[in-house]
Amino acid sequence: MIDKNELKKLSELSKLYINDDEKDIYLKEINDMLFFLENLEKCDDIKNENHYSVDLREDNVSQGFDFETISKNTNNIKDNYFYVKMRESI
Amino acid sequence: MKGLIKKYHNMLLTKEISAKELTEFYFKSIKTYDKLLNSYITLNEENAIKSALNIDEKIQKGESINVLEGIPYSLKDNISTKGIKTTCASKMLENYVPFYNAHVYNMLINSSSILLGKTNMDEFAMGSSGETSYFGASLNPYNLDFTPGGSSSGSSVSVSANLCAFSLGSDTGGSVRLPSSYTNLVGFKPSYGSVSRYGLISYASSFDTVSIMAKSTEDISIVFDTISTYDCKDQSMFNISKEESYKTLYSDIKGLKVGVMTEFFDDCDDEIKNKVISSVNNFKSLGAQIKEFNTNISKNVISTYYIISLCEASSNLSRYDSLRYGIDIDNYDDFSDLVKKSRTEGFGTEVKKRIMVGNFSLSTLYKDNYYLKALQMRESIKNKISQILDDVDILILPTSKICCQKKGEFIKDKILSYSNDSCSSLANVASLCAINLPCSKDKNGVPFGFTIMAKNGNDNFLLNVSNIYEKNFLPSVDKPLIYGGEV
Repeated sequence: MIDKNELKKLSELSKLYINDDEKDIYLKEINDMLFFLENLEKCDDIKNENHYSVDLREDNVSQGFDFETISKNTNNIKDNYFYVKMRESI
Repeated sequence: MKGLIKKYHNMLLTKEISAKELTEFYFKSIKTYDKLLNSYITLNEENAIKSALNIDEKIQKGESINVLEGIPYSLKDNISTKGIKTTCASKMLENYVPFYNAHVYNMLINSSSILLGKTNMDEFAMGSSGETSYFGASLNPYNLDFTPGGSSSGSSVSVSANLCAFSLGSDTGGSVRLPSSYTNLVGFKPSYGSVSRYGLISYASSFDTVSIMAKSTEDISIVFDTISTYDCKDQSMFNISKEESYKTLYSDIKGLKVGVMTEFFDDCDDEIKNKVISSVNNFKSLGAQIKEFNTNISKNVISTYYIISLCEASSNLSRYDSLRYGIDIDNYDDFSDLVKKSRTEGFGTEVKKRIMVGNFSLSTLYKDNYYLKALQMRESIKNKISQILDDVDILILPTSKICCQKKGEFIKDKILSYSNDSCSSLANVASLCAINLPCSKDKNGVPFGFTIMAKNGNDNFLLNVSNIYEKNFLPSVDKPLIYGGEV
């Protein structure tokens, strides 16, 4: 089950804004869904037919590059956009 | 049940009707009845009439035509069509026009069948009632107070109400079989790998399967043979030469062994349970041997399906960022703000929630107990089902445990909505081919169906079994209240 702080982190990871008046709705719906999925979390009778080892990156929230750093890659910038050649349609 | 494809093909050959007249008949029906049903998002009238005229010219010249030539159909709005809007029923893609065709659409273009339009669906195929569509819900032609099921809601309604002859949808956890069940159709989910996913907008890539809805198994078989050609652009496709399913449609099924997974009948609505058991007995009367199984996996199938599908969805839907795809945002502070604003405005509530649950299940703290466990469980389920299918030829279970719900019920009770996939998602989790056949109607006059499943790759065999059952036990079906009429 998640709380408001975790909801905030999840919305950041998902690149979404959640308004204050929507928070309770999302909290309820996400927790209802997680409760529905809990079955599997509690399940410990899985035979290890295949051992899964998946390396996932850490889920830290980052703001990515700032515009100034990115803009050093090109001289062709107008209105904060890179100008590139249009791709011909297939 | 009577299919439409052969009927129309013969009418075109004997010049009883022209392709243009057939196409115009369907557009007239759509314009009359779809105001009530809301099954189409975009119509393709001008192109369709142009294609029909070309076919008429061929017929006039005495040239031969193939069986799908001139046959009108619809496509779920998550199948890419070059030059025609493909919205996924989302505000995010409201004005998106693809610059390439899905493989299946190319195959249908090659067959000269006629695309009437793109059909309504749950937003990004996330739902089982059609009610999460940005364009409003489609309604069930058998009873307008009820949903048609989802997510391929518009596709099922368009075929059921005879607003097209057949339709392609996508089935990730039952999205073609559920609406087929609630609208009296045959709905076929081919084996994962039988049909190319190229150009199908992704929801959960390891489950997504382009699937077919029609009024008979014969129609399904003709369309399946057309769209299941090998495509190197989908690396999960089988690359094996195969016989056309149509040629094996009437093979003898003597000695068939039928497995019944009794656990999927627990908590089933009585109306459904009794009628599906009758259907099992129908197989018995055809000489089939029936064997019951109880594996204790049913409680884990739905959790496994949802966890894996939402993890994959959270990754697949990250491409909607307003730069690569998505709506334009005028006022934003920086790139991060632009992405968040476009996703917040472009996605509906259900999609946002599912993305967040996917990210939760993949997060460092929870991935072991959710995503990795679900992957292991998928292998465990696959192995158990594979052992059962070494013993029997097909499995039978209800398509859904619950009768169709009134509009709004699935939105009010989300758990009910998720539970609706509890039987159908088995085929996706265990990578089986599966087909919904009509069974009966509930007390509200809304149909429901049952599902037959077979091993991955046994599509032709499954279609053969379905066809034999249909010819013996489903000679005719009631037409819905809202019906586009007969040609």
